[in-house]
Amino acid sequence: MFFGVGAYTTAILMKLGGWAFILTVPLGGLFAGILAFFVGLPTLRLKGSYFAIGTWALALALQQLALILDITGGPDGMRLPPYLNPSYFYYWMLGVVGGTFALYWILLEWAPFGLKVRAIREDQDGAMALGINPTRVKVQSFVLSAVPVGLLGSIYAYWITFIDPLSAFGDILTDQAVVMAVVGGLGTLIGPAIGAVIVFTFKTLFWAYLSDYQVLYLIILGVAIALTVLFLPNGLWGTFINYRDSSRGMRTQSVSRPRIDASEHSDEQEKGAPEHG
Amino acid sequence: MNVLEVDNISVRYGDIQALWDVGFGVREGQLVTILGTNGAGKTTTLKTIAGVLQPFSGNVRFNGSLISGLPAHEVADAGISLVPEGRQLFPQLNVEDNLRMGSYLKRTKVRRDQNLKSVYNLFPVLAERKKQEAQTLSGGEQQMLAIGRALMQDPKLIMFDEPSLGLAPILVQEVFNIIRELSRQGRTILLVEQNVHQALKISDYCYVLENGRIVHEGTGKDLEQDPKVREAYLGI
Amino acid sequence: MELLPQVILDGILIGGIYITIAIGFSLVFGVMHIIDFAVGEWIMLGAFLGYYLNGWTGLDPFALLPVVFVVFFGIGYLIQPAIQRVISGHRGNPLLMGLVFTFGIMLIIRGLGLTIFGFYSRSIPSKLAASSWLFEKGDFFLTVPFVRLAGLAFAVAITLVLHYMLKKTDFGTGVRALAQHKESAGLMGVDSHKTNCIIYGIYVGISAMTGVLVCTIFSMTPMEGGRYTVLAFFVVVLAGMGYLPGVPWAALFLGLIQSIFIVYLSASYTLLAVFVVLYIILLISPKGLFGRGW
Ligand SMILES: Nc1ncnc2c1ncn2[C@@H]1O[C@H](COP(=O)(O)OP(=O)(O)OP(=O)(O)O)[C@@H](O)[C@H]1O
Ligand SMILES: [Mg+2]
Repeated sequence: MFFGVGAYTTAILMKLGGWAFILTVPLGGLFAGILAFFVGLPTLRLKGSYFAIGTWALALALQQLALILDITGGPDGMRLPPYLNPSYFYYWMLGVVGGTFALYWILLEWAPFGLKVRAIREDQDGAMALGINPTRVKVQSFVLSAVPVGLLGSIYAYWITFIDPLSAFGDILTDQAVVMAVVGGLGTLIGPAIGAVIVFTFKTLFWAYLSDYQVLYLIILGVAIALTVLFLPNGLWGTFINYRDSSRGMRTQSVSRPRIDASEHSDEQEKGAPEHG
Repeated sequence: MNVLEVDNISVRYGDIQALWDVGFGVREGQLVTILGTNGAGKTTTLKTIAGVLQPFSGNVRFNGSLISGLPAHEVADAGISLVPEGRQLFPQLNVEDNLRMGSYLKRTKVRRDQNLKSVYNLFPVLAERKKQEAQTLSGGEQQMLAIGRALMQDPKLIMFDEPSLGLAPILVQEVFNIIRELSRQGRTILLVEQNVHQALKISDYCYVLENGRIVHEGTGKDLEQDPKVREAYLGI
Repeated sequence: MELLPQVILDGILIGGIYITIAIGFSLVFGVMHIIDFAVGEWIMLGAFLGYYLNGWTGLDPFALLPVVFVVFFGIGYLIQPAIQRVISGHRGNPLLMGLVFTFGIMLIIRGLGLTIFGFYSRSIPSKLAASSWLFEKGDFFLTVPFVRLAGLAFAVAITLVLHYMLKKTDFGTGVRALAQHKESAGLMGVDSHKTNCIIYGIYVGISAMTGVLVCTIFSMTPMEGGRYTVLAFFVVVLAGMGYLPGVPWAALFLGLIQSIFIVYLSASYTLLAVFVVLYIILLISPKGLFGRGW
């Protein structure tokens, strides 16, 4: 959705306003951030995570808007003058992604903001008792996550040179679902990034080789998401981490104590076990 | 013969072990008490018997048949009721619906009207508040309702988890009177209490739980005389 | 000519459909805290089962509703344990993971629907569709299409049946108990596993029957499920998540808004309008119209 907002900002400003691309990109991010603020205000006050559906519904509404307005070109979409230099866009992307990561890292790991976010994630009521306003922090995080997506949308529009309501607002939920399946609900910085890379790679490959089988794509994706969520409660990433950790633990264990009770308990207990035995 | 036979159960919450080889028995018609400080594992013991939690080793037998491993609703059907710590009523159901939930099982549904009458006899205040939501009752009334709900289940063994918790002294006395009365009627009772004086007075046999292990046992009188128990639990 | 009475009537008739779209969805959320993204797909599948059954047997769609219910009750009953598995256990965010899982289910159903049924729009013929009531009194007149009236009647019937089940039967009291305190319900002898499966079956069954209605009154394509998911979600949020008594009123309210917008503004703005209304209401009262939501 924020992607679409960025994309349409660039397209409209470049085409109808005659703006330079470089100037439109920050505006794409800005508008995405503003939208996130207004969307986040009511939905993030609700407990639980059903604001995910809320944002999806908004995406549909925006898609509807893009379909009926004149300045967006309606269902036909918008075509921009081509700028045939892919490496130019790679640098842009790299810049945005790198900048985002650096910013998030500083904010979450070094600034007080990160502490607040963690406090809320651990225990919302406790955080409130400490004087943290959870809604404000959530809205701030939401805006922070929307801006880079808007920037990418802006870049995408000029890169692909064609956007329409379907491509700009269509897939966000699918992408989110895939990302969630990969990270499994835990909030790490690296998890969503990996999710995003998987989504991007998968899509690019799909559109390159399999675009005639869109329906099959739906089914395969659906099965993949459902099975991952069903059998890997910590997501692909979490399972990978656990597997790596436990196989390390196993190796050190097997030297001193070949018989290991392989039930649900963690390394600590296994390490503690010899003392009892 | 022991109606309830708890055979060396060990229970854990994730990585934290709460019970270590806890074993004891309750005989038909007896009132048995489990004492212990906060966090000793009393609630865990009762919940494990009730099928809410499952032991990872050891087992529980009731009337000779294995009940550990069964889900809570099947344990209830076998005839064990729990009056849980903190009442755990259905907050937005009215008093009568809470009681009717006690006879949800087919086994007890046939005697619903009869049981309802006798519960209302025992606790007239509940009859007055029939249509009131459970969450609007006072603490004492809620405890009556929780006990009434368990009685509706026609239990062969009734377990109380700190029924006097959070009640005014006069109500504490009343709760103990009720339990003593139920015991006199010949019911088999397993009681968990921190109100040691009162509990020792009315029980036939006691176990003391500490850090998830049984450390003392004996009749109420024995334990009252035991210097260690006196020091730790009676503050003498 | 006075339009308003017709507008209100249309709103109520549309709202009736919205009741059945959302009521099972709300029940499932209230009892087991599942937000089912596939609700629109159950509606879509129900519509197509109705369409083919009608083709084979020639029976009126309203006569087919019980068959559709039974089939989808079975499907819901069988699929619930998988969802339960996802939302229980040690997960970071069970609600969200349930959402993601049902999203996967939605993609599968949609993909299979497109493969099997193609992209065409279908609608089920009904004898009721041909006729309507016409009130006329001078300048004032009102049209009441029979099918839509039947749809509303069906919605009212479903609401009453659910109300009776939840308030008057032991099973229903057990369901409410389960929603309020799972552990205690177990101690009272409620088999939460089985109860959840039954409730989920009822929900999927109602949704599928709604599909038959939608397909009779309007039409259906395999792509359209998402629309109904949005509607179900709107109604349930407006009513307050999991607050069942709010659903009929929220549904009627939404129907009215929509009908007003279609007549006085433009049909293409309805989704936007509904969204804006919902936004404002949530801004004022985060727990829905009645402030009783989750
Ligand atoms: N859900 C849980 N998850 C993790 N640990 C738990 C859980 N419930 C209890 N424990 C731990 O198990 C131990 C025993 O708890 P339990 O509730 O059985 O104690 P208790 O004797 O009933 O205490 P109290 O008198 O305070 O009710 C405690 O150390 C407690 O912290
Ligand atoms: Mg306790």
